[in-house]
Order: sequence, then C-alpha cells, then structure tokens
Amino acid sequence: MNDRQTTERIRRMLDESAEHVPYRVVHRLENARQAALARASALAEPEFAGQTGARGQVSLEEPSLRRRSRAAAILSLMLLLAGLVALSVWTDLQEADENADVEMAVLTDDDVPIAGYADRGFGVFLKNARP
Amino acid sequence: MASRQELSDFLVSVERRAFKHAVFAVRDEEAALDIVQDAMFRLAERYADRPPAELPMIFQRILRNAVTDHFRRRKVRDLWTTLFSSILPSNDENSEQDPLEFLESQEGGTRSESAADAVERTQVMAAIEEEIHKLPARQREAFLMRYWEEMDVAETAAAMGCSEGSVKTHCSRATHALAAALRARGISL
Repeated sequence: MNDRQTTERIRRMLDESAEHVPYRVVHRLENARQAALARASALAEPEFAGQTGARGQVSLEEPSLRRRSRAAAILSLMLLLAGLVALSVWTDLQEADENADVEMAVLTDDDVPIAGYADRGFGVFLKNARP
Repeated sequence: MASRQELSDFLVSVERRAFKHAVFAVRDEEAALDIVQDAMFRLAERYADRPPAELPMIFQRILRNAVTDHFRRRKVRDLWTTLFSSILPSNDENSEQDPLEFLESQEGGTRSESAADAVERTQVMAAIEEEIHKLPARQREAFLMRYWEEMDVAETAAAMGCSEGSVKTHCSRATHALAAALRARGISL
C-alpha cells in the first residue's frame, strides 16, 4: 500500500471519529460557535454604521481608530473628574471665606445686641449687608 | 470578506476536527474545548473580514497558537500545583468518560453494522488516534493539516511558520511512522 492510500484511509477514519464525538462536546462547540459569531457581529455593526469606504482599508485602520476613541473617552472622563474636584474645592473655599467674613463682622462690631448672637438670621443679615 | 453565514459555515465545518486536533495535542477534552472556543473567538474578533478562502489557514494558525498558550499557562499552573500538591485534592474521578455519552455518540450511521464490525472499527480508530498522539508535535501538526484539513504545502507551511521543505519532511516521516506503528499492531488499513 502506498503513502497516498495510507493517508487517505487514516483521513477517513479520522473523519469518522470526528463525526462521533460525544453530544456534550457537540453542544459545547455549538455554543462556542454562536458566541464567536455574536462577537463578530458586535464588532462589525459600528463599522457599517459609522464608516464608509473599502472594507479592507477600514480593517487596516481599525486598531488605531479604536485606540484613539478609547484614549479620547478616557481623556474626557479624566477632564470631567478634574472639573468636578476643582468645583468642589472652589465651593468649599468660597463658603469658608463667607463664614470668616461673618465671624469677623460679629466679633468686630460692638453695636450688636447680645440677643443678636442667638439670632439665626443674623448671619444672613450681615451677608446681605456686605458692600 | 466572509459574511456571517460564511463564517458560520466555516466554523461548523471545522469545529469537530479542530476539537480532535486539540485533543491530540493536549490530551484533555475540557482543555481542548476551551482551546477551540478561544480560537473561534480570536478568528471572529480579528479575522472575520478576511476572504473565506483564507479562513482555514488562519484558523489553523490561531488554533496552533492557542495550544501553545495552553501549554504556557499549564507550565505556570503546574509550578504552583507542585508547590501546593500536598493540600490539593486529586480529581482523577472527573476524567472518566461517561459510558452513556459513549453509547449515545455511537448511535446513528453504524446501526447497520454488525456488533463485531463496530467494535473493530472503534478499536482501529482508537489505535490510529493513539498513534497520532505519539507522533512528535510538529509531525502531527503537519500531517493533520496536510492530509486531514487538506491544506496544501504552502498553506501548511504558513500556518506552521516553517518552510515548505520542512512540511514535506514532517509529513513523510509522520506517514511512515503511522504506517509502521499500525502494521506493528496488526492493523491493515
């Protein structure tokens, strides 16, 4: 028997063996295939929706485009966070300044009646009275 | 560019053989299934836009890389397993094949055969698979890609990352080794 016949018969036996894999394996392979196809579809949809031109060119540019959009998203998020932190610090400083002004006004004004210290609206009055 | 249907058809046509390839390489069905799944994901995510004619070669290359990755991971895992072997339970009972699954898998297609023929065929198949297991990895890969996947020499060389001459050498050695081993077992194909 020559090599060609040997390989052909081995191939047939292997084919038969592959046809008789357990159901558990077949089921798992089917699930894996469906998941893989879902991934391919998920990646393909944004390209068709947002880009034009030859598909080959798109596929070559894909990685850099994806990297750029991801970098832009991260940068935007970082800027937003930095803005929120800056706003929070600025608000705290403003409030501290206002409180300091009120306390200073109270402490330096000799005309304030003793009941004024207990008045809840006194701080507001001083604040509104500021030039 | 492969359509979704073409990609699906390709995966259907190749998935069982890919599973057997992986089993031959790693000798563990669960690991083989993970490897095939990983290879399918990589193909779908990165190469779904390639022409259908290129998919077999690309998939074989991906599968081969996935097997290599598996061995790398196993090497690291084995290191830790060795270090903590005294406290890890043995899981030998999990590796046993369910006899019901075996019977189920034998249904269909062979009912007309006599029981003796079916047993003989099963034994021959098992012997062939065992001898393929025993081949050196490169010879096994070249043999399976070339004669089972029916890839040509150039495609096999590209998938294996070697020269066409090496593919021919590996295939020839594998064929002779298999023929000799099967003859020694008294199996005439």
